[in-house]
Amino acid sequence: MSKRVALLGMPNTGKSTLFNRLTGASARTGNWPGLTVDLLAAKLPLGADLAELVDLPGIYDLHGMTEDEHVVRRFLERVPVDFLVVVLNAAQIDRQINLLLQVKALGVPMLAVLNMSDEAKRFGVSIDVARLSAALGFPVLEVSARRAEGLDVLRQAIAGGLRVANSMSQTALALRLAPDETVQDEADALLRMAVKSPRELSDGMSAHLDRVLLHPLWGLPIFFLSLFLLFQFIFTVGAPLQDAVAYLLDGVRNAIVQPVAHVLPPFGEGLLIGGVYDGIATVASFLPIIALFFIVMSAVEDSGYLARAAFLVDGFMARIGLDGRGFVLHLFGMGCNVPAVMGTRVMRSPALRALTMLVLPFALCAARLQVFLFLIAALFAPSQAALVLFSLYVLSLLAAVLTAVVFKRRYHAVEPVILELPPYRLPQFTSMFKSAWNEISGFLRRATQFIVIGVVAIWLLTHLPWGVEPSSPASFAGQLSAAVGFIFAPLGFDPLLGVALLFGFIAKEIVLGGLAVLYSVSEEGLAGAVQQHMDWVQAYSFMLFTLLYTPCVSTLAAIQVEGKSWRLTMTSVVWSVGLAYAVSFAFYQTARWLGY
Amino acid sequence: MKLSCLRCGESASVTCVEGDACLVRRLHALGVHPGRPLNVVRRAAFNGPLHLRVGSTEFFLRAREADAISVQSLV
Repeated sequence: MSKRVALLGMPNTGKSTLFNRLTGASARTGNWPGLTVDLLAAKLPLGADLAELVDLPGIYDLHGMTEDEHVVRRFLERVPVDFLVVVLNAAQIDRQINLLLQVKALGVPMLAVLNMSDEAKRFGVSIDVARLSAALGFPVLEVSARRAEGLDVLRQAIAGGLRVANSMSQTALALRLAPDETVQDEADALLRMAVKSPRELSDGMSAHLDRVLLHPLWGLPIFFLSLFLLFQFIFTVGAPLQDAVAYLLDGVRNAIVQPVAHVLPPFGEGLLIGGVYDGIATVASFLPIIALFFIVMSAVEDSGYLARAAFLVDGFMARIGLDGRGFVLHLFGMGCNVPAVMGTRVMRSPALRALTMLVLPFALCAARLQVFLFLIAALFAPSQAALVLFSLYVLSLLAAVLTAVVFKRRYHAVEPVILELPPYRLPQFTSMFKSAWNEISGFLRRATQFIVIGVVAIWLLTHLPWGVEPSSPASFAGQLSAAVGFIFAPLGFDPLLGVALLFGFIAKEIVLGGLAVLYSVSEEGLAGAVQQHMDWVQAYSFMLFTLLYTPCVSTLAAIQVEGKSWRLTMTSVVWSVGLAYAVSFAFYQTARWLGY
Repeated sequence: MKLSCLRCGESASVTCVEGDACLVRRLHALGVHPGRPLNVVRRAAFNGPLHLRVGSTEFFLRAREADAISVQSLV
């Protein structure tokens, strides 16, 4: 059995980056406390040996009361660990040494890593490592995980530590986790002995940037302007890439898939090409934009600007019953709602978490973005496109605010909001691309599961019963849409689209893949087919509905797992479907009444 | 006096942190405990949170939580 090593430390110490450096695994790294919510484990090569490295959630206090702190204690009580590596931010050793001493009291073999030693020098903090190590009785190593410095020495030290067997039994460890004796005196003594720091500590660059970016008047406009510019960048760079991928996928279809599928009977050929390939290709062509989105978001996250955004909006968020962290989660939700919902674990109050989880599904996620980008390109002039998309983002925020205002009485909570503002840091390319790759592979996983199931189901509905003309009123899809048509008629859109929406509940990408299948055309001709079936008023009404109606299955599952309340999950579905219907209805009827 | 009485840019020494046990723990972990100097860097608009600096750690907290911290001005 391989030995187990656990990484432990406060949020914002670069613990996840160090984990990635040591294992080469693609664990998500973040500048956001609590984002590493699932315990990540990976193989840790130590010369000839192999150990297992577990990345524990960032905690402030071994005896604290947050969910992450419970998780760490539960883990240490139940899972045998051979060696502990405690990661400290060297610049903040003055307060982080307390956690180190709490861990030391457990009696498990361990060592301490002083990470971000370069940042500490910038702050003017100097640490006498040899003296500290001698006083503590275990190795203390200076490392820079970002620059991959000191890692070999660290590996050797861990290997050396593992040669000594851990004699602590789990029961003894559990007993030592319980008491909470103050370590402040010991900490003060150690700091006096081994650490020199200037009285006024500030990293000049961050302070200068903050003076501009956190300006009481200009701070928020600057934040939204930068957000707007980032989106502009994503679409300017992403659009040509998207065309290239679409062209490529079309080439593959004609050159490879079609000849291969031709050996199948016509029904199978149609299912493979018209269902599976076209459905997925339409969705896949948006991959470049999504990848760019995640690259950019990960850079912003690494930079430390997101915590500042939380600071800027917290005053407003407090008024609608939320807080600055909820706003940042909403930004994450624009990639995918699921990790955002899981991110609510940083909140302690169940009511606050519930309210935030009701709001988050309104974040315009990448899946919905694909549907909008496609319809906007098909039905609006290029000069209007940016404005139309922008209006949808604004509406998604308004829907979120409205939801918070409506439900804030029912989920009323007061929770202390304390959030670290880490120094500004340059984003790391490796972490940016790793994050993008994680999202793309996530998409490919979903594509092989949900999206295939969805588009195949829609294809079958449009092509059965046997011998029927595809998508005609006689097909199952036609019959289904005739049955539900009265529901969608007041919203103005083709009842056939109701079938796409129905399956879009599984994953919103299916709405787009479903469009391609329903109008049985390849991606190239889909825009033309859509133009025949709807005008811009109908398209906008359809987009409003797609934007607001029900969180997808994955998001609902996350809400159920995190909230553990059927009532909350059902509220989320009923409220969002109702809101979607009301908004689409109001828009369509008003627009038609005005003569559009 | 209460921390919220400090003006932006002012420093003071922490004399006492009291209130919800969880809040006190978190503040302690961030370095806010009696005897430590603390600096109010700025306040956000709309009666927003306070930006504080303790040692090399910067964080923000809401005015209500700031009332848990009592300080004595540094002369």
